[in-house]
Amino acid sequence: MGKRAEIIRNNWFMLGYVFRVVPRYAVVHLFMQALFGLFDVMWGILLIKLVVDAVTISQSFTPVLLAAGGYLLYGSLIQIAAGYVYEIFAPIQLQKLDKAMQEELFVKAIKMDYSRYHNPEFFNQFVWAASQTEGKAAAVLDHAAALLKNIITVSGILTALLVLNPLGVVVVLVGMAARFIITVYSNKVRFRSELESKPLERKKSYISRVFYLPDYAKELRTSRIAAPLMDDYGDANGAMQQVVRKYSPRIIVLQVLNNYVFRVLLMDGVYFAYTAYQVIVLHTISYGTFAAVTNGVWTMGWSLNNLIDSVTAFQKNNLYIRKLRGFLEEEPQMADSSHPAVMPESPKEIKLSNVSFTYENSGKPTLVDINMTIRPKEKIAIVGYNGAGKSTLIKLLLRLYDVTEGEIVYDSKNIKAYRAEDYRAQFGVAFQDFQLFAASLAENVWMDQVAEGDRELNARVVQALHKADFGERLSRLNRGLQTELTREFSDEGQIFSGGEAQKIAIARAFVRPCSVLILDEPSSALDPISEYNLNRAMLEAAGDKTVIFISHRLSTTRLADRIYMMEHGKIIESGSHDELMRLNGSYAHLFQLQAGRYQTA
Amino acid sequence: MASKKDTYRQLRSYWSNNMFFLGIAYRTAPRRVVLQFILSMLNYGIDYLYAILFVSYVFGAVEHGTPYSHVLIFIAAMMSLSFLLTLVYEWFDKRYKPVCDLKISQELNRMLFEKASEVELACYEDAEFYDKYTRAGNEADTRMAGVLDNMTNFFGALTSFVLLIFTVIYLDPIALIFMILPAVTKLTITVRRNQALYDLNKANTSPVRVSKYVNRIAYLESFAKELRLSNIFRVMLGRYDQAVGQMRGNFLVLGRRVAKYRALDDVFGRILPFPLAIMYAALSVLVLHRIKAFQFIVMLNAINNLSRSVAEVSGFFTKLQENGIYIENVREFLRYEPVISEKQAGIKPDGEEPRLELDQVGFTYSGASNPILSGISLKVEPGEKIALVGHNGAGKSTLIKLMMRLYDPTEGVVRLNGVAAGQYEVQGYREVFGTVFQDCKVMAMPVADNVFMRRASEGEYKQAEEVLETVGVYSKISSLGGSAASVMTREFDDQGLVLSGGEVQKISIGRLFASDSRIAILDEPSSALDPVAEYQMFELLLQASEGRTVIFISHRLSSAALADRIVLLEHGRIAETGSHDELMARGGKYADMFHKQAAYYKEEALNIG
Repeated sequence: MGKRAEIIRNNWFMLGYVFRVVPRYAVVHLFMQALFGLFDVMWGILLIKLVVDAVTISQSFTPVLLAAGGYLLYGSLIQIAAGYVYEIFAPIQLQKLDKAMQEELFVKAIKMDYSRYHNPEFFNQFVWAASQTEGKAAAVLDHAAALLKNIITVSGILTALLVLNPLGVVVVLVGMAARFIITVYSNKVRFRSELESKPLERKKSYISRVFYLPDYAKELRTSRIAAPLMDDYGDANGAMQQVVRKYSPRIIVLQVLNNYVFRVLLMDGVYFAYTAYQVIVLHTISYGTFAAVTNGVWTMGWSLNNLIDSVTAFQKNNLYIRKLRGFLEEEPQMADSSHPAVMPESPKEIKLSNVSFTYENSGKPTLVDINMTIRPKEKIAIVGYNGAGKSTLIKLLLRLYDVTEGEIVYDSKNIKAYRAEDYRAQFGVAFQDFQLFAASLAENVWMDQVAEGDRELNARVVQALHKADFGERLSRLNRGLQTELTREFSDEGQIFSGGEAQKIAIARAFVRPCSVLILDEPSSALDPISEYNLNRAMLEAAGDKTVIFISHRLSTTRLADRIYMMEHGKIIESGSHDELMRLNGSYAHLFQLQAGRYQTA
Repeated sequence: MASKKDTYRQLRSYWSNNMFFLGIAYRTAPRRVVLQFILSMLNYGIDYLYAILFVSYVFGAVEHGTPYSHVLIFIAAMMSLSFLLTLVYEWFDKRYKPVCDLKISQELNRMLFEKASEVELACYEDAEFYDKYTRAGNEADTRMAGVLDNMTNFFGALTSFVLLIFTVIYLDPIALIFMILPAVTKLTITVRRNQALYDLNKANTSPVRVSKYVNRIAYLESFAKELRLSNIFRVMLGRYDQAVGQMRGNFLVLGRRVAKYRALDDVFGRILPFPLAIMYAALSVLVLHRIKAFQFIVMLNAINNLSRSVAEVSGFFTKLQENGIYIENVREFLRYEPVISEKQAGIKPDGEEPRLELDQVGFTYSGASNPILSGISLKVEPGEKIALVGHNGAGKSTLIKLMMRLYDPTEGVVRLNGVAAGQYEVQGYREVFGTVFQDCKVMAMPVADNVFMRRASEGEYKQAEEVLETVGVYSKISSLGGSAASVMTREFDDQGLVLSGGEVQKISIGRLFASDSRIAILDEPSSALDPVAEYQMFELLLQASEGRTVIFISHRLSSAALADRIVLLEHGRIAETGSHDELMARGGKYADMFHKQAAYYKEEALNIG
C-alpha cells in the first residue's frame, strides 16, 4: 500500500511542478486529450448505432447526414487545433518547462558538496537522475493526459454499454480486471529478466566503446587484443540469449492469457456469440445496437491496452522521480552562515591547526594532524610522493571539503565564517586536471562572461596569457581572444594541445586580482623552456600575493620561501630549501635523485 | 526532369541500403526473417478475416436467417484460428525473434568492430568521419530491427491492401474513390509535412547540442572544481539561454509550416474519408439500392481498413528513407578502404636485427594547412638508444606514430631493414615494436590479458605474475586480493581491480617485458609522477628494453643525456642531432634548454659537490 501511495505522491509532485511552470500548457494538453477521448467514444459506439439504425430501421438519410457532418466538424476542429497546439505551442512551452527545471537543478548541482562526487552510490543514483531530467516532467503530464483520455474512452464505452447491453459491462469488467492482474505479474517477470541482462548489456556496451573511442585506438592497433574483446562480446551475447530462453516461456503464457484469453476469446468470441444470439434468436437488440456494442467492445480492447500502459508508465516514472527527489532534497552540509564575515582584500595569514581529513566511505584518513602557518605573501611549496595527500590539502584550503578534524583559519577567523563564494574568490587556481570550456578564449581565462567591448578586461586577459607564455600562440589565432574553444558547439572550434591548454589554465590563476595563488602541478604538460618561463612569470606575478604550489619538479619548488614535505598524509619535514638540504632527510634524497643526472652531465 | 531522375536514383539507393541490412539479417538468421514476413501477412490476413468475412457472415446471417448454430460454429472456427496464430506469434515475438536478433546484432557488430580496428588512427582525428561512424555503430542494433519491422509490415499491409481492394470492388467499385483521397493526401501533404519537420530539426541541431553540453558539464566530476571556484557556469547558462531562445524562434517560424501541414494531413487523411464513406454507403443502401443493409457495415469496415493500410504503405517509404540515410553511413564506413589495411598481404619481417630508416619523411594532418613534420631523415641502428626532445607540439608523438605505421607519411618513406614499411604485413610490422604510451589504457579483462595484450592461457598466468613482480605492481594486486586472473576496472564487474595511474603505467611497461619486440618505443611517463616514482619508472623502462633498440620521447633532459643520440625537433624539423656531449659542446638550442632546466639543480651541485 505504501508503494502505491508513493507512486501517486511522486507523480503528483512532478505534475505539480508542471502546473506551476507551464499551467496554460498543462490545461490545454489535458483538455485536448479529453476531446480526443470523447471523440473515440462518439464514433466507436454512438455514431455506429445511429447510422446503422438509420439505414436498417428508419431508412432515413437525415440522421446519416447529421452524424457524418458532426463527425467531420468535430474531427476537423480537434485535428486542426492539435496541429497548432502540438507543433508550436507545446514545444515552446516544453522548452520553458525544461529550462526552468534544468536551471533549478544546475544551481543545485553546483551548490552540492564537492565530496558527494566521491560517494559513488549518491552519484550514480541521484546525480545521474538529475542529468537525465530533460523531458521527464513533460512525460508525466503526457501520461496523465493519456490516462485521462483512456479513462474517458473506457468509461464512455462502459456507459454506452450499460444503456445498450448491460451484460457487456460485466464482460468488459471481468476482462479488464484479469488483464490488470496479468500485467502486474508479467511486469515483474520482465523486470527480473531485465535485471539479469543488464550487466551483460553493460559488458557489450563497454566493448563497443573500446572499439569506437579514440582512447583505445592505439592499443587496438599495436596488439592482438581485439580478438579476445570480440570473444567477450560473443560470450555476453550468448548469455543474453540464455536469459531470453529462461524467461520467455512464462512471458509467452502470460501474453497468451492477456492478448488471447481475456481479449480475443472473451470479447470477440464469447461476447460476440452472445450478442449474435440476442440479434438472431431472441431479437432483443437491434441491428444497430449489435454493430455498436461489438465495435464498442473492440475499441475497448485497445483503449484498455493504452490504459494499462499508462498505469505502468506511472510506476516507471516513480522510480525516476524518487531518485530526482533524492537529489533535490539533498542539503549541502557546507551551508553559509547567516552572518558571514567580511572577506579581507589583501593577503592574510592562513593557519591550519591539527587538520585531519578522511574521505567518506574510506576507513583510512588521507590527512593526519596537519599544522601549517602561511604568512601573507609567503611562497610555499608542497612536495612529496604520489598519494601523499597534497591535492586533498589544496581542496581543503579551497574549502571544497570541510576538515574532519581541526580547523583552518584565515585572518584569525575560521574559514567557515565566510561565505564560501567570497572565500574561494580570494584564490587564483591552476589545477593539474583543469578543463577547457566551450566558450571564448577570453571567457576561458576570466572564467566568467567577457563582453567583447570591455577593453580593460580584455587587456587584462591578454596580459595573463602572456604571463602564462601563451602570447606567441595568441598572436597566431585569427580571432584572438574571441576564438571559440572545443568542437562541442561548432566544427570550427579551436582544439589546443595539452601544453597549450595548460597555459590557458595557468593564465586563469594570473588574471584575477586575488590574494592567494594556488598552482597544482602547473608544469606537468609543459616542455622545459615553457616551464622555465612559467617559473619566472610566477615569481613576477606573485610579488604581492601568497603563493602555494605543488610540484614534482624540485627545481621549481626550490624557489619557495618554505617547503613542506609530505608522506602518508603527514608533514614530515618543513623549512627552506637550504635547511632541508642540510637536514639531509627525505627531501634531500628526492632532490639529489632528480638532480643527479644534471650534475653528472 | 533531372530532379525526378535524381529522386528516383536516391530512392533506389535507399532501397539498396535497406536490402543490405536485410541481407545481413537473412545471412545470419534466414528462418527468422522469413517467419516475420509470413507472420506479418498472417496478422494482417486475420484482421481482414475478422473485419470483413467474419462481420459479413454474422451480419449476413441475420439478414439471411442462417441458423444460430452455424454462426456459433463459424465463431468457434475463427477463435481457434486466432488462437493458433496467437500462439505462434507470441512464441516468435518473445522467444525466437529476440534470440535471433542477438545473433544478428553479433554479426553486424562484428563487421563494424573489425572495420573500426582496421581504419587508420588518422580517421579518429577526422571529426566528421569519426562522428559519422560512431553514430553508425551506436544505432546499428535498433536500426536493424527498424528495417526488418518496416519491410515485413509493408508486405503485410500490402497483402491486406490488395484483399481490401478486391472486397471493395466486389461490393461497389465506385467506393474506391474513398481510398484515393488518403493516397493523394499522403503524396502531397505528408511529403511536405516531413520536409518541414526535417527543416525544423535541422535548425534545432545546434541549439540542442549546446543544451546537451551544458547539461553534461553541470554534473560531471571533472568540471566540478572549476564550476565551484569560478563563475564560468554563468557563461554556460548564457549560452544555454541563447540556445533556448533560438529554438523558440525556430518553433515560431518553422513550426508554423509543420503545424499547418500536420493539420491538413490529419483532416484530409484521417478524418474526411470516413464521413464521406458513411454517406456514400448509406446512399448506396437507401437510395441507389446497390448493396444490402448488412453489407453497409462490411463496406464501412473495408473503407476504414483500407485508408489505414494506405497510411501504413505510405509510411513505409518515409521509414525506408530514414533507414536508408542512416545505413548509408554504415555502408560508407564499411566500404572505407584503409590506406594502411591490416588485411593487406605483405612480407613478414625476418628475425634480423632491425634497422629503421626515415628518408625525407613529412606528414600533414588531413585538413591542416601546415605540415607537422617535414624533411625528417634519420637512421636508427640496432641496439641504439635515441632520445627525441623538443617543445610541445614539435611533432615528437607524430614521428613515433609514423615509425610504427599508425600513419603513413605524406612525403618520403620509412624503411625497415631496407624495405619500405608499406611492403610489410601490417600486424607483423607493428609487432617489431613494443610501445609504452603516456596515456596507456587497460581493458576490462584479466590482468594477464592486459600484460600479453591477447587472451592469455591459464598456463601463462604464472609468467604474467612474474612480469608483474618485475615491474613492482604484483604486491599491490595481491594486497587487493587479486591475481593475474582478476578482471581489471569496474566497467562491468563491481569487484574489478582498480589501480592508480602509476600502477597502470607499470603494467604497460610489463607489456614490454612480455613481448618479444625488437624496438622499444617509449613515450616517457613523467607528467604526474613524484621524483622517486619517476626515477624508478625510468630505470624500469631501461631494464625492460635491454637488448633492444630504444626510441624515447624525453621531457626531462636529464634522462635524454643517457641516450646514445639525441634528436631535437623544432617546428617539425630536426634542429640538432648528436650525443649529449656533442650537443652541449656545440652550445646550440639543446645546450640552452639543458642549461635552463638544470640551472637550479646545477647551482646546488656546486654548493654541495
